[in-house]
Amino acid sequence: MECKNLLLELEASGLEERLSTAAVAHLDQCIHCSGLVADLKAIQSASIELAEIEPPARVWVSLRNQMESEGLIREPAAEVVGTGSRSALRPWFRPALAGAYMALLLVAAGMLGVRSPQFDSPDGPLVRMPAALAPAAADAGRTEIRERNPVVAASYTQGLEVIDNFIRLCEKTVREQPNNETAREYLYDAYQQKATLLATTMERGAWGD
Amino acid sequence: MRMLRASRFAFRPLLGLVALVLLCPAAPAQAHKIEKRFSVGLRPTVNVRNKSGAITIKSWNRPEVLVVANHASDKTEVDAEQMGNRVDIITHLVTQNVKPEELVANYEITVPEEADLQIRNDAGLVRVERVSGELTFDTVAADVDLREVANLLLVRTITGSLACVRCAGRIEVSSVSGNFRFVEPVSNNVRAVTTSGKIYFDGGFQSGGTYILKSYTGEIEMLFSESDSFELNASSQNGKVENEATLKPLEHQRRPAAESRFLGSSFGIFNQGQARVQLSSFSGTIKVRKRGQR
Repeated sequence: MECKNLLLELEASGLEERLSTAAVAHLDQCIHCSGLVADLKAIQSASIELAEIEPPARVWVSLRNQMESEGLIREPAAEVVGTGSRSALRPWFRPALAGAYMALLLVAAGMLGVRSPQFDSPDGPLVRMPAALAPAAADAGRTEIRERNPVVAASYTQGLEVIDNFIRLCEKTVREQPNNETAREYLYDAYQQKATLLATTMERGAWGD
Repeated sequence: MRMLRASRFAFRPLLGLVALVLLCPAAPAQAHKIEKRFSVGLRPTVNVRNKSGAITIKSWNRPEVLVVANHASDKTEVDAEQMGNRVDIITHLVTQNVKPEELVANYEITVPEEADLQIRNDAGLVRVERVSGELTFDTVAADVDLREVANLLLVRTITGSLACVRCAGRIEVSSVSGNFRFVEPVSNNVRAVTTSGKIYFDGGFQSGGTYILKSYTGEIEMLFSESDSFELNASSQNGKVENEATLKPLEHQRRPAAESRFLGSSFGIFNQGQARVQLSSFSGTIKVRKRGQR
């Protein structure tokens, strides 16, 4: 099983359902996916303890833009796609939904982190990227960009490095200036960018196990 | 001696033929040229998906789409099909065992001027001229070069850069490390975001327009004229702002509350402040330059 297949299975069955044997076997040997599942579970359990949070409007705007850009939703006047069975949508629906799903989770992770009491502590963790996606994804050697064209593979790698460098820069500033709202917003933006890039990479089938 | 010379001449055509046979594999591109023509209605949609290569799109005043494809290898295949008023042009891999240079397919496409374009090209170049429909470009490393396009422009790249000359309509572009260059845009709505790329904006500002340029770590350079009218909100968290515009202060209640937190910032109204210009960066330098000053 590949990483993207595991994501599809998670998307279909959720964290509550029992995963297939192949998925369990994959989790046993894939540090990225096992970290991701651990983070998702941590987010899930933490979110239950939180009061209901209304995200700012720009979160929904951003998600809507992301979904529109991936063709998942359209303007009302546009053609109606796939009024029939879900299977007709499957070739494009699933990667797009996986991307949106991941973006949503990262937004949730970001919001949780922003509201974490530890955030203001100079020594405590900042708005934390799920472990499976942060440095591991930036490390091209370990993230195995499965792309035939070296120019494109280098582009993905460079993109991840650029965003990770930016995340580190923002984290440093937030650590030094815990009350700086602008720096937090930039950090939040950086996480969103990373989620978008990873979703794009997966959607194009260039990220493997 | 005469006989020897005669026989040498007799061999020349044969040698030429042998040379031709030997050289044939060196020019495979000629063997993979495909040309297709489609009759379309008003405002067709042209959808191109390509792995690598140059895509050049121009317009004409005929209700037709002309596709000329040229690919380097027989391990790729070009499909160009029409579905109603949509033309899909897709480069397929025939086998999984493909070298990078064998992925290349180049296209020259001619479309009606009002066509909508959906272009996806991972590497190489996309060049579009004088097309005025809704244009969407999605690339990884491919650069996008647009001239005199209009209506709606959506560009997303990872490392690919964008050059936009006399682009009109709503413009929304984003990239991770690609540079953006806008020259003489005719738009009242520009939004450009790049993480580390440089943004260069040299154009007028329409009354009521919104211009949002954001480069998180890269440089932003915006040029203005004495006759321009805009409200400027330029801020760099850890970088500096070099502003040549003489600004009138903003009204107190409209002044950004976080102004003092920025290492570099410049807020205020230039002339009547009819357009809204927002330039923001985390660590990059922002330059607001008077046109013709360099």
